[in-house]
Amino acid sequence: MTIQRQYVLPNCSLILEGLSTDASNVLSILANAEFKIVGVETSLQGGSEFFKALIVAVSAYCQRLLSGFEHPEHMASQASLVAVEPEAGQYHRLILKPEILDDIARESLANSEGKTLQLSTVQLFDMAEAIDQFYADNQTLPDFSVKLAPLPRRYVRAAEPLAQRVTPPLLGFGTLAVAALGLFFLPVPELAEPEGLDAQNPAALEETLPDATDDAPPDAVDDASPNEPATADATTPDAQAPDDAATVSPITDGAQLAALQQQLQQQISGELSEDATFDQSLNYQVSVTQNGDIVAYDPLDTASLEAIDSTPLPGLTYIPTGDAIAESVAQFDVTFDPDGTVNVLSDQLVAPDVVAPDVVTPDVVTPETETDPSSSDADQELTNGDASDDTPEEATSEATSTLPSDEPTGDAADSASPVAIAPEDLDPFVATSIQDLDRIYDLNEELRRTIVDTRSTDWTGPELRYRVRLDDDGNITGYEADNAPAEQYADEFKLPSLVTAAPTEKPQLDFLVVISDASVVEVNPWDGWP
Amino acid sequence: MTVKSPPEKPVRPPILEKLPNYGIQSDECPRRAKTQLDFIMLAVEALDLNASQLMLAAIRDLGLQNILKSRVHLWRLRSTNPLRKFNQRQPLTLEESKALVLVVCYLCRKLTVLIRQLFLGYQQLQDQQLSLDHHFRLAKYLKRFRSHFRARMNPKRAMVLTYSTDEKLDELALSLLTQLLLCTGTRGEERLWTSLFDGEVS
Repeated sequence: MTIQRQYVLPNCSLILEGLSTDASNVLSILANAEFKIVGVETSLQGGSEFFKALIVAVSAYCQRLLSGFEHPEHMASQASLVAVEPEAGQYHRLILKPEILDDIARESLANSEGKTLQLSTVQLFDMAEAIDQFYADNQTLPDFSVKLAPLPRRYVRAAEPLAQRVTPPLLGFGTLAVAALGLFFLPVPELAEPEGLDAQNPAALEETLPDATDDAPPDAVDDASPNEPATADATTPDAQAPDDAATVSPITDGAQLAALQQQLQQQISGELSEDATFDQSLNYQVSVTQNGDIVAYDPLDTASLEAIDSTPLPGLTYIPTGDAIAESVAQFDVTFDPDGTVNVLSDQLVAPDVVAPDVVTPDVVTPETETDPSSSDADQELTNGDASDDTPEEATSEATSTLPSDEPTGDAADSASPVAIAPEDLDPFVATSIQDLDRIYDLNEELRRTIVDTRSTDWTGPELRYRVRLDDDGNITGYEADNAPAEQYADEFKLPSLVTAAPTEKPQLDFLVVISDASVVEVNPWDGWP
Repeated sequence: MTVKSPPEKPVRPPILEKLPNYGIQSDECPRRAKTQLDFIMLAVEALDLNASQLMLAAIRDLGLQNILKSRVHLWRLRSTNPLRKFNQRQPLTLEESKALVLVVCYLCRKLTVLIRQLFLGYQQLQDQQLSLDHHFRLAKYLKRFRSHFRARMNPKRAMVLTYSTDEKLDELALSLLTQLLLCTGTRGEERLWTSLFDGEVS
């Protein structure tokens, strides 16, 4: 018995004809399937194979419309009998291969390409809907199934073609390769030490080095190094000594050494606190530059090393900064005695000055200065009085008596240098200063005249500044150089010989003496006019 | 008060069983599915101004209140679309998306007549080579869709940027209209649901 099933939709009707294998009225054997599409003259007819191919393709194409991904089932290929492709706008193209068409339809074909139908979306949808209704009908061909399943990932073509996707990584690797090739031929840059660092450190060391390494015994050097960073660098390697000695020349000029010695003595005793006491005498080796800066010190024994902080030495040390220039240095032995006195001795002064004492001892000089500034009677009288009262010899002996007697070399050096005496006594402050304005004015004039008269020739050279101390009677009790050249040229103005009186309790006053490069002498009170 | 029965388990709506899981491991919908679902709902709204009310009614009719709890919840689920301006960085679970698919298809069936009319008009316009403006109802749909899209999508997104012109948006609206038509079918839910995972399963 033939069973016919119809699925009718507005634009398409599906008619299925077949047989039932049993009496259950279920269409189980398909004889003929026919799609009648409104607007298409010839209906699509075919057997089971045609029907199966058509429903798979149409169903898959519907999924393509929904998701936008091409499904292999509806694509035109060699194996597929039915294909559906999109056309412009809302049209779709249904392509049927000749193999699945019946004879009548095949004859009507103009070519062997197959039958092509143009379907609108609604027509296609009605076709799909007819298929779905058939699928939902349990009474018709229950063996036929139209499976719906998501498209596996492998069928999803990437949005960009392979060439485009591969380009960026290839370009990256290519650039890297080219860069690597180019850089391969470049020489490896050599590590350049920063020049500033290189030049600075040894220079700084050299300043403090040579004498310390030359004179100090290696043991003392080693002792000093761990505790004293300031000198440690300077004193460690013995091997460096020759190099450093070459760059730094010790000061050998006797006069300069003496001046430096005097300055150092002042510097240290000025800084030494009043109540400083030591259990035993402390010995240090001190390096001093031309302008009197202490650049290094080196304790000579363990006690000295331990007590270093109670001495003014660490505070006085001038630490070279920046581009230090190798300067010549002088070496002094500084001894702090338990009673608070400070002695400065120079090793190098010994030899040249052994002959010197007779020439410029203060006792010889002082009388000469007495006669020299004959312009001032008062001055003459005063100095004369002083000389008779208290002989310069005594003054000198007083000054030198502070030196330890157990060091003959230092004694000799000290007594040998005439300049060492007077400035030594110049305290930083005057105990009782002169207050009377008229007297200050007089003293000022007097001092100026003395200096003008005393100087040997017209001065041509750098500006010199001295601090000169006068007592109430007009006697020069001491002087002090205020700048480096002044120290050097003190002898030019016979300043050491002008010191005529020992400091007393009498009122005193400091004056600033400036000798300009044009040989003009200016004198003013040190603290200004009251 | 004595309780004689065990506490009620939340009943899973049996209607969801229509849609299989296809062996998807994670409970979260893929990005494209979120976008597509939201776009389709946007198209439904463009077809019918009252769509949001209809959606709530559909939820009640389908018995999906347990999953789509309220209007705000529905809005939050739609905002999981990564292209939205106020994108909720929340996952859209399979169950929620199934419910959304069912609701959309339910609405589409109610709108079948309108959708078919629009396609008929579209076909006529194309045959006569007229622009889309000549069909009043279709033009209205397209215009409404464009304004909805521009109002809700983040214009800084690269994908939204590709729809910057009216023509591109009309194209999108028409392809969505085709999808709506397919949703009206007998197996509409299944087809839409399956299409959401195209290219996402191994």
